[in-house]
Amino acid sequence: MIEIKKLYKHYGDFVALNNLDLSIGKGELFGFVGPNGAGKTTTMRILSGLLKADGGEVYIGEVNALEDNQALKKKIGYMPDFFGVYDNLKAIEYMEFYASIYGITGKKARKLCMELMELVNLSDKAEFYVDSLSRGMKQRLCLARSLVHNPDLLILDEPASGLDPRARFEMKGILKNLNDMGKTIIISSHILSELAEMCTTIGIIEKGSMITKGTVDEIMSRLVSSNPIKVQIIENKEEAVKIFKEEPLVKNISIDGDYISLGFTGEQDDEAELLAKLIRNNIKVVSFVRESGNLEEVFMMITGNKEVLN
Amino acid sequence: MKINPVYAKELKLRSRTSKFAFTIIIYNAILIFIALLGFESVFNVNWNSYIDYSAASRIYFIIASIEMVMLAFMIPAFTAGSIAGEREKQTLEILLTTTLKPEQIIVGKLMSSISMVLLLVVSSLPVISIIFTIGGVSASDLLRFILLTFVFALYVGSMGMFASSVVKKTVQATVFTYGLGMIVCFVTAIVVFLTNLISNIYYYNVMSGTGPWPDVTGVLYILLINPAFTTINMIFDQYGAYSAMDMLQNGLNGKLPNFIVEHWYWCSIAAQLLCTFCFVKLAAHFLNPLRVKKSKKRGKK
Ligand SMILES: Nc1ncnc2c1ncn2[C@@H]1O[C@H](COP(=O)(O)OP(=O)(O)O)[C@@H](O)[C@H]1O
Ligand SMILES: [Mg+2]
Repeated sequence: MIEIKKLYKHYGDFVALNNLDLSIGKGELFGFVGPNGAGKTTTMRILSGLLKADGGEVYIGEVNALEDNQALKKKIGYMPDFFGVYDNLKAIEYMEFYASIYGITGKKARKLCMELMELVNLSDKAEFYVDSLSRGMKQRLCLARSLVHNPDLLILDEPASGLDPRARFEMKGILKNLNDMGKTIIISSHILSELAEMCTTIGIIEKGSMITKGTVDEIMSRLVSSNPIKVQIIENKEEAVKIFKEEPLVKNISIDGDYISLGFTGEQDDEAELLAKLIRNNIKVVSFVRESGNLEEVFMMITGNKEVLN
Repeated sequence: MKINPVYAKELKLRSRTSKFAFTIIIYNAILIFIALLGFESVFNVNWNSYIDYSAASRIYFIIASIEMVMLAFMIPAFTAGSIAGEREKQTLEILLTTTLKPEQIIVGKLMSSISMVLLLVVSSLPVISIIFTIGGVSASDLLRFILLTFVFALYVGSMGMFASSVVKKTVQATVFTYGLGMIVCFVTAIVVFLTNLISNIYYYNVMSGTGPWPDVTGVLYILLINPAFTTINMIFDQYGAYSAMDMLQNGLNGKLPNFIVEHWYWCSIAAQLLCTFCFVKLAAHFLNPLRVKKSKKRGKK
């Protein structure tokens, strides 16, 4: 669905996007995560045709997004990290205005707009003036607005920021729903845990480049492999240490009572193999576990604040 | 033809504010007040036994000028905020991610402002036509005046749109629009005056005051884009006391082609519409987020 290759963007001397590569498949609910200033908004604005890229390629479906602006705009719905609304319009008029831009008018527009407002749980607010709506409602109205032309791809820039937990929860439900309806969705946030449970895939951006992309589990296991393995042994500790010392994937060993901490660089298969070896040698292993930092710690670690894990 | 969605939305928004009804009332109140003042001085203050009808035509001149001046002050206020306002409300970005083209946004906004002017002028028609009838102005002259008003509104309105899309803030954009208006109304006139002055100096100092006067009438073409001059010229023509063109041509020692002089009104309208077109195009250009910036020479890595 989306192919971004070597996307480059600078503001003056400051390089905001440094040869960013990213590909997102059709139907993904992609969580675009990175600390503030990493380049999420910049990427999304380029995807939406609001900002000129300085280099690279972007394809959305077959559309060359950097060249064919009109075709691009038919395919995408964009929700910026603020909500632009006209206070003097009623919610339904606001919707109908955007429908009219896409040539949908009259009864057809009314029907479509009511359906969309239903989708975002706002149908009872149709006749309310926009400025009387709460923040969460305005946000959902904005979301409904970005759907009027039935785009394949939704680009949502930090839609959860500034919302209370309840509104966040509601938003998540709506997004999942849209994803189930077949829309590809990109949603950004600077908080990983906010996206982890909802998104099908996550990508982490840092200083204008992608660090990693995959499902939440993949990313966790990939990143967590730098954590130590903690082994609890109640007998034959010396024997175990000897085995560990022979194992090339074990980088360092530290002993603390019954517990042995291993710096281990192998994959999960290697972990299983190591455990099997211990048991074959009649070592009484009580527990054998890869220490997992929580999601946020992992995120902090890979985006530069390594001291958190220590 | 499909109606411009921005235009429809703007009309809806504008008609909701009381500001506009208020503007209509003030506008007409000023017109009526000045008209009454004018009639008072023409018909009562002269103690002579006759009524001075040439003075009545002077009222036409005054009222027409007042109408133009009021528009000149109002249109920038109507238009300059239109794009800057969307920018401040942050709705502009959203409009730019839709399939709307920058031109459509500009034209929709401009048209809605002009519709407001149309309403103002129409609302003042009763007053204007009474005054003009008493002033001895024919229906065709009145139509010419109204057409000129519209072209003027479009012209200044397009300056407002241009300012609004270049300058980010409403207040600055409004000031910028007044500045542009000043340039076309006053700077062009000053240029003509200076040309005359320089040619005189040249005649006396370089040509030692002998031989034919240097013909610098060409500079008058610049006045085609000056709506103030064209209005004055039209009014002079309509009640025929002097010809502004003749006076200028004498001063500049030459003659413009007859066609231009005779059809100054239409030529000027054409010139103003051409400028309007350019301003709209420029405004749309500056609105386009993907426009090529010429200043940015720094190559990509
Ligand atoms: N118009 C701009 N001019 C200069 N620098 C900018 C501009 N927009 C963004 N930046 C810089 O580019 C970097 C990336 O910004 P952004 O894409 O908004 O990050 P994010 O959305 O991930 O927080 C930031 O360091 C920001 O300061
Ligand atoms: Mg951002």
